[in-house]
Amino acid sequence: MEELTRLAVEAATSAGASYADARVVDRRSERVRVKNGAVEALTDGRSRGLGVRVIADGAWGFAGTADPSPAAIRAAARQAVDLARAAATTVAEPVRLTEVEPAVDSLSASVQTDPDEIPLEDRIALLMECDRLMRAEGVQIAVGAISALHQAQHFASSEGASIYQARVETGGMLEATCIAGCGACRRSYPSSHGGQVMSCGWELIEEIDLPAHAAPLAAEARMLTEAPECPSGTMDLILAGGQLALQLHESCGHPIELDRVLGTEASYAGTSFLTPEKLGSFRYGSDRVNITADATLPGGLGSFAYDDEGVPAQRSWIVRAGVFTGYLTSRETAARIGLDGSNGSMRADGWARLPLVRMTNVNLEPGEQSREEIIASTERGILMEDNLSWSIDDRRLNFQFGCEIGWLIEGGEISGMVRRPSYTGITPEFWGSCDAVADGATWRVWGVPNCGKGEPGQTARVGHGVSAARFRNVRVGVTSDE
Amino acid sequence: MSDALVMDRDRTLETCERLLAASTAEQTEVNLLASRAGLTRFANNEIHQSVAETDAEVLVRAAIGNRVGVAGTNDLSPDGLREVTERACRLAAVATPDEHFPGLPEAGDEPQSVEGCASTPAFGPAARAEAVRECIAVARERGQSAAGACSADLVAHAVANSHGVRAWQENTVANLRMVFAAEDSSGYAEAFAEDASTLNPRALAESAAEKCARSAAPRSIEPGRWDVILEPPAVTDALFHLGAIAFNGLSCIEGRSPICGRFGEQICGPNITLVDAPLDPRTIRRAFDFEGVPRQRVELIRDGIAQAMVHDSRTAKLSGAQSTGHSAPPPSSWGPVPVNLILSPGDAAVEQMIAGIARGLLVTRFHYTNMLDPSAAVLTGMTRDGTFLIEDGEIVGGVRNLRFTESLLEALSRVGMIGRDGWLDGYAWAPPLLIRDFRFSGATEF
Repeated sequence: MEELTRLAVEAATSAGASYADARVVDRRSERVRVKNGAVEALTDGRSRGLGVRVIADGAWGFAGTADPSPAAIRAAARQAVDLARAAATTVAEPVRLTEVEPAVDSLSASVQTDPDEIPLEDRIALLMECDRLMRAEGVQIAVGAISALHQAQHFASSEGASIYQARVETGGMLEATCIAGCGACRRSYPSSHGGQVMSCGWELIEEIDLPAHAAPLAAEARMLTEAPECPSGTMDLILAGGQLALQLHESCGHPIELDRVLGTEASYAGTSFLTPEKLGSFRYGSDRVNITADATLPGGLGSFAYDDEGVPAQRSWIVRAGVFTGYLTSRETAARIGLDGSNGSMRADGWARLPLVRMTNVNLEPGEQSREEIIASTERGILMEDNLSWSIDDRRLNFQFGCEIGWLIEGGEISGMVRRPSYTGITPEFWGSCDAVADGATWRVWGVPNCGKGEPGQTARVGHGVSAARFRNVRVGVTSDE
Repeated sequence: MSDALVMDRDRTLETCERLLAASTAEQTEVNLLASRAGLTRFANNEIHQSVAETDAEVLVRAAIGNRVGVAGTNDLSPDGLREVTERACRLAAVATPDEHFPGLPEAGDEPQSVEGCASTPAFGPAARAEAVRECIAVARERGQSAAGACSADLVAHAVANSHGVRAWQENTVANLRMVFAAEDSSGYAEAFAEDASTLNPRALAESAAEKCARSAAPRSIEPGRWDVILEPPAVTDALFHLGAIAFNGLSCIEGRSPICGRFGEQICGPNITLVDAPLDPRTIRRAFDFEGVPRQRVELIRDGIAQAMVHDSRTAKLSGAQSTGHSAPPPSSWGPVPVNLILSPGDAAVEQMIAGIARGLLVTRFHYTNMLDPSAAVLTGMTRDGTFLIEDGEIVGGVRNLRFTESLLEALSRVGMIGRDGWLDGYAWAPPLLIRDFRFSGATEF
């Protein structure tokens, strides 16, 4: 691996690049998915290649190739230089990078039990047992899945960096869907859209204990078909688990990506309301809201030792006591707004894609009350869990989410279940209405393995540490016939 | 991996034959997808990303009885090919039986040949940069800021299976999209084509600039029910969601589709006819699916009446039908989806449609759409890049963007006029629609 990256960097600088870096990535991903008593998917995919990124004539160029031959590597490097020179015809200001100490390092994956040690037959048997338990509760669609990813990567730059990193990720999920006259009602565990995924080994599957949750999950799906619709109106809202993680992801994680702020996603994913003049002074939320970006969290799906520019992983403040204080940056974007250095947020999806500013683990730091105390101090509200649908405008202000399940709270107690709950709001107003964040007892890092961004499309694997939080006077129960 | 192997028909199919010969499974299927892709992105009136990628991926589906495994690799060396076949067979050996596995398709009529346009892979970095410079020049002339992307992709796809299916096609897709921005407004234009030489950067740029200028100083309006003209990019966005959930054979069988049990019934207005037409030149043509089955033209809605869903082999077996050639890549957990949708045009010019509205809105495109309630086809999303107020039959200015929350089937029951000129997205072709009482549920700040 190291040899290939060095060859690419040397070929690029020989062709005229003023800066070059290269990554060789070797990724293997396995997935077992059981549905209604049968193995629906048993897949094992492998992808290996090299991506070389250059600055030539002041502009960026990038080329990726799956061919490991020296001739192909040199050709890719020359192609990247040609691509940069074509781009340079429009560039007003040459690319500048903040300084970084070139690292030479080698890091292996940190796992207790490599998922490779668990025979496929055992993974299938585990999911089959969950499937049986869910269908015994009368749901029509029962799905369970376990995934594993192994990735090895070597990064080298013309500045002298040479970094090997390996990672292992493991994920597990259950979904139970009950279909009745009201439509399909789904419940997921541990969260929706792929379940829980972390940078760790089989120990995650043991921790989340899928069989213990299969029957209760299916029972909830069945009960949802008979539950009343979510009421429409304005009331207090408590978000927990995966839904609070996704709220954080969409309304904080994306708008703090500095490339997006500076306009480079404008025609596709959009821009951001968190423009640079707001840094350090804009009130993003109430003083209960403290948000960090932390690539050093053990087990976080957005954790690593170095980003894909060779910048060491960091923890930095994004929102402190409600005030917006930091972005996710690259070396180039940090330089553009006059920062001394990048906080190490450049990540690429495999070998074939250019690194972009991506989330690491963006976390809502724990508060002081217990989740039970927050519920007990809520006179009338709804607790919503597990996302069904999501949508937000192209500056990340107006959002609307649908959830799998809601729990009505009356007089400080949960009084019943509601079906298909939804809510909507405007980001700074919403976070400004946050008057309670639950403490560390229920705080955990949720993996989001499917964050889309960029062209060509890239999928990032990011994390969010959250507990639960309450928001006052939120519009809930949005329907098409209100 | 040489470039010839990536793109050449005979060598691609030879590779498939080697994989089939190496398999020890009872049934084996090979998908080989090879691509050469180039993209140039721009923002703030300059190019900030210029990339190229060459890759080839093999997916092997092996079946022993009704136990199935799928393995993939982009290592096309002799060792890589041997290893991926062994992995697929090993997976099949440990899988549990799947009583609904339909078996791999039998060889039938050879799919109609589709070949791409040579101009598209030749649309390299210098040509793309030239197209972008034209767009930037227009933006600068207007005092606006241009952002967008220009891409040219070539994808060769081969499918072969142990029952004699052999299929190969070459698709080319060129795309030029742009958003022009000014102080308080933005405007969008985009084109897709198989032939990159048909892209017209200046005309697109003029259109985006005009929308940006006309939507300046947007006013705030109250959400609620509005008569609305949805321009084609908004219509194709909505149709994709409708096709993916409502006419997907799997969601119909499982009872998740909003039109379960309603085939043969009126589900929307009698002026709506929707087909999936994979070889229609108005779309990006696709000759066969990921099982090598020729894609068929499927009438989904005729005169407002639900006609048929699309199938892969599995959903076809489950419902006692024939595959329509809409399989996704294996293992296809999502089910079959129509991706060459065509909504039949009407005869109205956009100007006539605008003239037909006393007070309403014109929406250029939607953003971040998602199904809030699939069982009722309720879609939500935002407007962006050119939302206009219409008063007394004329556009009077821009408005701040709105959120809609609306049942697509109900909206399609209130279509007052259908435009005559359509537009191609990557997966649908549609004309503009005038929809009465379209529901906007919220607003944003810009």
